[in-house]
Amino acid sequence: MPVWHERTKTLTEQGKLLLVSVVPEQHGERTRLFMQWKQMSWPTLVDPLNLLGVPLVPISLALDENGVIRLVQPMLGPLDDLLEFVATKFEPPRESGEAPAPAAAELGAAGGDAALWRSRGDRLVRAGDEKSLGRAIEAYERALSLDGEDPVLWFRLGVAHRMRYDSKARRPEDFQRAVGAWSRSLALDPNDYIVRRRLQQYGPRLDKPYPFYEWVHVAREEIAARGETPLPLKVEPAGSELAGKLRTFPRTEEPPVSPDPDGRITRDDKKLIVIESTVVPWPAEPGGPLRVHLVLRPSVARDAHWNNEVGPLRVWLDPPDGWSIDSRLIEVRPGEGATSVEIRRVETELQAPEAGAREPASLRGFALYYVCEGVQGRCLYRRQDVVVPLTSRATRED
Amino acid sequence: MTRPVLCGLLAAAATLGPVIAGERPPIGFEVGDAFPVELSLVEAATGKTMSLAAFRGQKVLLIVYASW
Repeated sequence: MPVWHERTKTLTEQGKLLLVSVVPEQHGERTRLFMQWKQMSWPTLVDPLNLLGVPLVPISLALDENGVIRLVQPMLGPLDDLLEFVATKFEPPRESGEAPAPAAAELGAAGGDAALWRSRGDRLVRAGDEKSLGRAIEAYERALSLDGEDPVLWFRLGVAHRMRYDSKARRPEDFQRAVGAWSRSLALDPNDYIVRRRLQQYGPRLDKPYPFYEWVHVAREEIAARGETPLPLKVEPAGSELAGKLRTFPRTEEPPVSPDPDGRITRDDKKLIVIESTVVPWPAEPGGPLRVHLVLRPSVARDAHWNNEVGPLRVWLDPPDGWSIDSRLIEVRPGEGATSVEIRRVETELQAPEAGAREPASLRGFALYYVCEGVQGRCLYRRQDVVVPLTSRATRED
Repeated sequence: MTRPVLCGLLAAAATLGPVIAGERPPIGFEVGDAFPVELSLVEAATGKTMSLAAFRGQKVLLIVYASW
């Protein structure tokens, strides 16, 4: 059980203190699984937009019966302070103009129309439905047109884009737009711990403090061992979200051989497989690492299916001059059954030139796969070329 | 995520240094401030919107932590 719960268990059991949590998590159902794993039964609220405006975690606050903060970070101090807080009767704040000042989180960004559009965006995101996400994005963009230097606005725009990416209303560019917005937010406020962690969650291993969601498989095993069913996740953590930290950029010992160097495999002109790419962060720092996410989806419009009976999906990537790459040839295991329609993800990492790329560059390559058009349709071996724009800070156009 | 949560606590302790009044870095909240209890968020367990105003009349220990 989390440390703070052990320290306060007696007080909460006696009804003298109520434990409440707030978690600034992009994917709220992951918090729900964490709570199930740790058997945390107290109210826990999810705050993907960081509406509280917390600059770091963890934070503990003791609130009296009137919602006034009486202790800041009591869990880092002596327990006696908390016991005294519980035993004290606090008077309600006076109404004669001496009400306690609102917490910093309430003051928000500069006032005016930008703040109004930001509030509208916040309300639309919190509405929770997919249609509102598009309107929220528009509201945040409107606010940014009035105040383009607000890091909070850029962060929330990124949150909204990523939420839409994870919904049925998704647009292929949403993930990259989220990353771009978060990168812009961090550039404006490099001390924002929450934004930094949000980027690191999807970013390269050289910039990763720890594997963010490594705990998920442990949680599921322990929950199942208790005889319970682990709560489902809407978005499974994968790839970068599970990857651990690296201290040096990996170097390939033996360069692999291109599986189709002369481009002789027939192209998938029908786009039976739709390929999307996202680069994290955007832009990369000179000499810095970045992670490339490729998502391959069988086309629903063409009733496309992976053919799993022959061989794996293979992706070949050629870095531009001056850039280093982790893996040039990546294979993805076939799915279950003769055919399947799952989304397949391919991730690799690059390192930007030390001086920064003077010109815009592209990561070029191709995917080779076995695909069927329709479950009973023709099954083909096809190639689709991939071009991923790259940029480092030396070439970024504002 | 036990390790990251505990690491977060320890890291916060390391960041904040010794527990000496007045030496902690700002976290946006001060003693005496009114916490924005009217702020409504989604409760993880139920998916329903609620706010801390529902807990008026009780002493609350609010913990902001990360499940990542």
